[in-house]
Amino acid sequence: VSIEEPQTIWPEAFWLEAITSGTLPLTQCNDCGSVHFYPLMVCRACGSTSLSSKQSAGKGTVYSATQSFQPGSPIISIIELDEGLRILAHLEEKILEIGTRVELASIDTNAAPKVIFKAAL
Amino acid sequence: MTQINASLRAKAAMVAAATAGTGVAPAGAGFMELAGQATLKALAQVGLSVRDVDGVFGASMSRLLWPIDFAEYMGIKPHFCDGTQIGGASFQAHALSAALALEAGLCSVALIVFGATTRSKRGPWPTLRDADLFLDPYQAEGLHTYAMAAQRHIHEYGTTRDQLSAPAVSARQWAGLNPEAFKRDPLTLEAVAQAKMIATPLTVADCCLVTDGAAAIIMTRADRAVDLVTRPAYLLGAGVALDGTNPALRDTLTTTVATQSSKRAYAMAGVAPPDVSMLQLYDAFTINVLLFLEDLGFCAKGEGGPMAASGVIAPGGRLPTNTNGGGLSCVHPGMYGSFMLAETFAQVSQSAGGRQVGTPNVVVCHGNGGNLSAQVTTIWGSGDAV
Repeated sequence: VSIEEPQTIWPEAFWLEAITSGTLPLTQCNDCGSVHFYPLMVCRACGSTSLSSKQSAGKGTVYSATQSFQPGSPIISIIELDEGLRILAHLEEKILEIGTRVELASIDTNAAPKVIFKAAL
Repeated sequence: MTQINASLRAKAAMVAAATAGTGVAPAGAGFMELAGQATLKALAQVGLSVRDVDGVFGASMSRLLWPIDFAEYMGIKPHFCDGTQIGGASFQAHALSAALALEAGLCSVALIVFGATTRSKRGPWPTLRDADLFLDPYQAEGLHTYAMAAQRHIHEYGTTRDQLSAPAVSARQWAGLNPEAFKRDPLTLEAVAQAKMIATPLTVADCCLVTDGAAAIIMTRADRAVDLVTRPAYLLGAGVALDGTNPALRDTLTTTVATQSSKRAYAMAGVAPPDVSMLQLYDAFTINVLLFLEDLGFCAKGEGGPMAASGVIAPGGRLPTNTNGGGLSCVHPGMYGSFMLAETFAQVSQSAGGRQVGTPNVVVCHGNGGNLSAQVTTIWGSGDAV
């Protein structure tokens, strides 16, 4: 496991810039190969500090989803991306069946960036 | 790997516990007053004064610096405190740190205390954190994590609607035996299923209550406990495990890290699931009970539904669970962990009145915090178990 000085770039700012431009930025560990979505400075899987960035193709399956009956009633989900990691997302339509193929629909950047998926074509 | 040190086993005990203002607090009563009344009631059981308390433990969603504020209110000058805030499981963690502090001589009378008027003064939940860029847009924490865990449990193990409902029906049966319980009218499987939907698949009857209430627990070293009461509840073992807040980062939603916290607690206590006579499981939602029956080793993974539905956890069953009516039917003012300790003490000290279940010798009291984020298993025993 590589244990290097922390990068001088702050990963959160880097991530925000990438996602605001409409892509799903990923971080890959150069040691164990684990892929992560939320910005980090150390690999959550193995502790390595040797990381590089890549981009998600934006395709995956529904790991779990719930229709909230709270105000706003979003469809809240966890998506398993084809790159092998899971992220939080909202679904554009009511898809509660686990395993449904989905793809990135949009990223709402009006406030904190929100990832929205839809059924794959 | 950590070697579990059993030297803490049975070194400290609960000697008193009391609740106050559970359900709907008396008009005008504040959370500080409820917590104060529970404290005075508990101390009176063992003839101690508030001046004898030198260790303060607790967490609150009403006051960020709870041990400071509550100690000031009661005129306590603590030698030791622990205000660890890991949600509803905080109080099980406090029991562990109280045992450590008592054994190390850092304090001699430990008070674990909580009070809230979550129902009667319902308002916006306090914000104890800054905005979270990665969680806030999704509303995925809190109840929605439990809903998604239930969806996965149904998907992976074929758990049925009625199996998911079983802990709510069982809790209500226990509540019927407890005059302090907030909801005591009979509840059927059909009524749970047909209740208002909150987040698929959870209906309002799958969700814990929102009540008022306070609880206070007094712990001392074991050698002092036997001078104070005839039936102390000894802390045999305890274990902690954390699993973050973001549910997308977990390995799975159908196995919690209660597998790890319970393993640590069993190792310290020197007991195994077949030795356990009673369970207090943090039932913020019905799915919790299924997950914890599995993760604490009382059935195989995926068998929580059939086990709950078999009636073994209900009154008359071989594994009495949530004997006060639980967070689902008795009391849940935002955080439930302190009330579980109070019920554990009531049962081990045989002072639970109409809901007393024989002479439980080994009780597992398992706390859960956040959205299945914090798991703290405590194991308590009677003098016979020690």
